[in-house]
Amino acid sequence: MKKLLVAALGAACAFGLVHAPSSTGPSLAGTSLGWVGEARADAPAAVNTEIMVMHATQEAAGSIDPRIGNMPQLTKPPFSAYNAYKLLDKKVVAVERGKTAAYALPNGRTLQVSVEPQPNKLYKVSASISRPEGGAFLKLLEVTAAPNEPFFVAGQTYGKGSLVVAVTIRP
Amino acid sequence: MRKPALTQEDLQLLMRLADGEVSADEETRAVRMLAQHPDAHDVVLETMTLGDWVRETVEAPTLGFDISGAVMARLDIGEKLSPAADRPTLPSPATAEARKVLAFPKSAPLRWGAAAVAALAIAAGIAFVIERPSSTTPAVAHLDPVAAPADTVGVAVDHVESPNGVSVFYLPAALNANASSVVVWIDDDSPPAPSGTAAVPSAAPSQVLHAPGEKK
Repeated sequence: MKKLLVAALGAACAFGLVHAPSSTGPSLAGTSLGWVGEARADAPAAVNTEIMVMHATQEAAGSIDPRIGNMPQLTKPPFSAYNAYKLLDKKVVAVERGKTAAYALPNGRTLQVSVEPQPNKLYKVSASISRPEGGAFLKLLEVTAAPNEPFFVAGQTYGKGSLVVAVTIRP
Repeated sequence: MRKPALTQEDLQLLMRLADGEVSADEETRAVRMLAQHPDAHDVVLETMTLGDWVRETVEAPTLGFDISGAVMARLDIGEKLSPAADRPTLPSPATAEARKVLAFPKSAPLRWGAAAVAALAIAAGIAFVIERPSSTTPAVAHLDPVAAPADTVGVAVDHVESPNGVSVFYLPAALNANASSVVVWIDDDSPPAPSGTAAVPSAAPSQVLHAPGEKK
């Protein structure tokens, strides 16, 4: 055990040296100031953001609404807990930089989205979902997303199933 | 009456016990200590947990997408820090089964490999602690990049905050099998996390997926 701890400590120190902050390249989860400046120079004033709302249920015969399009994630966990997906709404919103776009969900809650272009054509997307009675269902979600790659916010009880919200940057 | 704190010698003995490096006499002493001293359990469990993690990692060092296209990472937020009473309890140390549980393989190469992996784990832990926001707001998680499954991430969660229980799943993306998309599943039925509860980010990619609605 002693050997293990000594080796661990040594390697940890080495890792610390290697892990020292650097601004030599973009990172998906973190961005150096230089990159932010570069990204803002040619960033569009608004970013098209697709919001798709689906209703997931468990039915005798499973089906995926063809209007949803090709979304293989829905057949995989955790979505495979449900076998029927129906498209409730699909909309592309032009989210202006520095502003928040609001979107009314079918359960009365409000989804708010803001988008900030990042280096290498990545986007920092912030989302929140507020309850009509006050308070937040999702206080804050921040993701870094590549264009045309959806991220999902799921779990809201709706009808006999659950709401699945897919957000995709469509530059 | 509260037992006196474990001495340095006691700690070393317990760690050797967890490593399976004790003699028969030492084992007897250690087992007695386990039976009498509540902190001794914690020491052995923590040492064993590290050992388990190391062994699992050495046996399966490559991270990647699950064959079923499932989950590479999961994050539970809003769960209470497990009180001592909720921790897995060690079997009675007096039994042979307990000795079996406590016995670790003594392979030297494995141990050196394990040391290297443990070092990385500790380093990653240090980096995580350093980069964590100082706020202790309940149900808040800041996902360090090391928690993301790969450098080919289509979507990465940087931060998620909700009064409800949250799980984060990484899935293969639709457009690029090497990238990932993310599902943030918020349990609408779970009661809000009580104020003061610390978030326990645990995005180890090897964690098991719980399907929605499944008891975690």
